[in-house]
Amino acid sequence: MSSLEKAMHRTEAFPPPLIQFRDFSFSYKGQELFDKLDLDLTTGCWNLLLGRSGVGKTSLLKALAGLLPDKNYSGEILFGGKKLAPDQVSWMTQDDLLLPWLSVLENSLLGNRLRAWNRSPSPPIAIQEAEALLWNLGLGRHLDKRPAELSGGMRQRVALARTLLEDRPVVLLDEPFSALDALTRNEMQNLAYEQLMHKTVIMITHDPREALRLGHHIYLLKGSPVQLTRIIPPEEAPPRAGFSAELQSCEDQIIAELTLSGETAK
Amino acid sequence: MTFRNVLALIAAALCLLALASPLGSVAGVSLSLWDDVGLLVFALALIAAVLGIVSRKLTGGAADIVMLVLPHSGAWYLIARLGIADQDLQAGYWCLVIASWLAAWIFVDQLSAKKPKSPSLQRFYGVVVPVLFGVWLLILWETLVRGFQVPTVLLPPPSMIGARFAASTAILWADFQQTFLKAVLIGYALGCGSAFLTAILIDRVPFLQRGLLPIGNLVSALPIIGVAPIMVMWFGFDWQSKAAVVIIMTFFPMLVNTVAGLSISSQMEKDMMKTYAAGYWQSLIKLRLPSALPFIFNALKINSTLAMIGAIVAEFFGTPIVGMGFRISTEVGRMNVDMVWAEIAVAALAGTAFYGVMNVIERACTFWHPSFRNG
Repeated sequence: MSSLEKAMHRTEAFPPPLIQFRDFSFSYKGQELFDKLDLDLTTGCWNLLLGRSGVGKTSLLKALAGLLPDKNYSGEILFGGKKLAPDQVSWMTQDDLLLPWLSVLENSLLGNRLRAWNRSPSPPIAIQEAEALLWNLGLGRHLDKRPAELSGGMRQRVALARTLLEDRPVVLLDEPFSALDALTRNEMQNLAYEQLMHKTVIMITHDPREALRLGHHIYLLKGSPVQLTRIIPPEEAPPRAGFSAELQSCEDQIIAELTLSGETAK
Repeated sequence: MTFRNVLALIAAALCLLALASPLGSVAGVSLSLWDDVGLLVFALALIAAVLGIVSRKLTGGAADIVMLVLPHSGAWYLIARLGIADQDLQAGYWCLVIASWLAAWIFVDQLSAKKPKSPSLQRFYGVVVPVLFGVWLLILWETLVRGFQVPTVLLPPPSMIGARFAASTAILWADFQQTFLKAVLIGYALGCGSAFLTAILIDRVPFLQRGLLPIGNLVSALPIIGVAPIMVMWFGFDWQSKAAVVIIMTFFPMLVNTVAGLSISSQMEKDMMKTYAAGYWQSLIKLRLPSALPFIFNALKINSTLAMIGAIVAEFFGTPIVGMGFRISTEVGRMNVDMVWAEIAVAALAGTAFYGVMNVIERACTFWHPSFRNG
């Protein structure tokens, strides 16, 4: 029995998943990226989707965020048994997407600004709440600055604040830390983990070490159409630090899997 | 050896040359610099001043004051000297003109070398240098045209243009009202406004992009001298036909730039807006129009000068007896070139002011854009 099969065996002990892809098929520019994919993601923890670039990770995330028009894919995405609605989801990307003409505080409250128009039933986010969160994220002295005056890490923290303030049950992270330098990335990973501990996080990355550091559940996406492989990370709770032998062997395994898939794809 | 010292030594050499050369002749009697006490004092003072600068005896505030007063009083005296009738100016005079110009250059160089701390002083130096440039352009124009007795039909001196300007402010104001306040401003507002709305329409209904953009392109390619007489036939002699020409000229630059500006927002930014439940109009007003502002202001600035040209040229093809284009075409026929230049001056001032106003509004609206940071 290989370690992978052992890992598969262990998963059966987990509680029933709540985000479900059923028969999910999607093709992009004539290439079939997903063919009748079934995937169950556990709520209340971090799900890491790991794969080479171009494998279709971002499309999967966009489908979750409701950004792919329904006619572009087939199958369903369920949350707690019902169709996942776009307003249950918030989305954060590698690019901070801050509006350069708004201050840090105004950017973090972007949702209010956009909802002010369409008579949304949800009450606006309180300014005090935003200020308190920005202070927690170490941006308290920069509330009135514009994005251009901030470092890359600070900008990404503003984007994190904007995502958190929406307070949606599902948070989608599209390689949010990959443009940061190593030290800032480490800080951001800890900060994001701390802030999103009890949310359902679905994060995509191409960095095996990042996946092993943050993921409760790790899925490898490879091939075309995509095949899923489940990796069971070490038992230690994330964020996992250091280079334990167990982490190292997991990383070796992931790299071996992804490299193999790269060869078969050719 | 610094650039400033090179300028100083050349100025000194020219002054020495002026001492040795003939200054000119009045009614056939030859004169040298020694016959004109004022210019002699000026030349000697200039030699002393530039030697002081080269030897670093004259520095700081004293150098600034000397180099401000000396070349400009010298230039004033040189221009006054042009008033003497029936004279023929020679090498000595022109050496002094060039020397005083170089001395003013040294002054500008001294000012640019300063690194003032207070922002108001910085802004003051930022204004003084271009103003001095303009002043010396006028001084050299005046001395060259009058000194070489260029016929005024070819190029009148600025003093003559200024005198004509001052004497005919009533006519110039009437022309300005007719051409700028009516044809240009109304045509500009209508042309840019309708192009802006068309761009939004094209953005909302992509199918129109294929139809309307080529038509806009075609309209902008129409030759203005063909369109203007047709517009006069359609809309009459008054300002309405000129405004129509301005609309045609300004429409396309505004349309193309607004369409380009609206497409600058990335798909990812639009997606981000969607996850905040923003519809088309929220996304347009909160994200895409602000992002498009640098493009839109580009078009507004280009159009501010295009509109002036369009309105003035259109007046060549029929107009009531008022208007800048009308005045230029009739006064050229009567050889009143100074009046033509006065109208050109009005057009240049109005066009520059218009452009400047658009620039100020742009800075206020797109303060966040990288091109304005630290500036």
